Amino acid sequence: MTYLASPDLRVAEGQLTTAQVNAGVFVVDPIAKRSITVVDAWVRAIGGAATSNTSIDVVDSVTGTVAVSFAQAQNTQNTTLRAGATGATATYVGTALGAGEGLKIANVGTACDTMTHLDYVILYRVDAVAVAA
Amino acid sequence: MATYPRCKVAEGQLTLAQLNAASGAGTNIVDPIAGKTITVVDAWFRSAAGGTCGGATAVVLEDTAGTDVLSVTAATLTLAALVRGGASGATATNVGTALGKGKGLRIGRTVSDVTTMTAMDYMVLYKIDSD
Repeated sequence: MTYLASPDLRVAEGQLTTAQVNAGVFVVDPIAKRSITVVDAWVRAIGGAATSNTSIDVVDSVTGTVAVSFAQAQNTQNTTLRAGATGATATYVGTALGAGEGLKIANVGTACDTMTHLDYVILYRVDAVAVAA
Repeated sequence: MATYPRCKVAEGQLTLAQLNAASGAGTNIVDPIAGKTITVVDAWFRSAAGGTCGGATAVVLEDTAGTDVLSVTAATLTLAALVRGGASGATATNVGTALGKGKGLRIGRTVSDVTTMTAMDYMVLYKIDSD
């Protein structure tokens, strides 16, 4: 499908504590009936590399579909790790996620440690409400 | 110069037929806006199905008058690899340059038709310039 309209690009950015990452935290609230398409993302470990965990993922908030998965090994201190780079699997970047779901950043595997904070930037658009034919 | 211009996004997936359409000019992804220019600020392509892009020399993002913005060589478009403008094999000649007034954006191919790759994801960030 192509999009000939001009949807605005949205950005979610900030810094999470490692505790927040381990708990899983909303970075974009759900919007009723609307789906979100992540078009780009990066993360950066602060205070040390991410250790002990498997990955830190950007997921939709109900289904858990993984838009981007940032592997522990590449999530080193102060490195901007971009979606699509080695260790940053961008499987569902560019794909509309679940309707009515937000975005979360969540740890996968054993709790992440060493890293004290995580910077993140997620570029996304909010899709129009689907109209039944 | 517009103050605090909004960034727009065009993203989706094109089939092989859409890339090869119109003798390689391809398919419009952003319609022209009368009297306005568009400036692309970033873009990426990704082979979504079929395998590495074959046949063509490159897959190109250009304005609807044919000015190249981003040209990604076919060999660089391996299955599932996200290829960013400015990376090796992804020449971003006119990224950051205002394109022709009243022109839209399209994605097509150069030299020969695309083969093997049957679908391609794209993401284009752009702004619409003031008059």
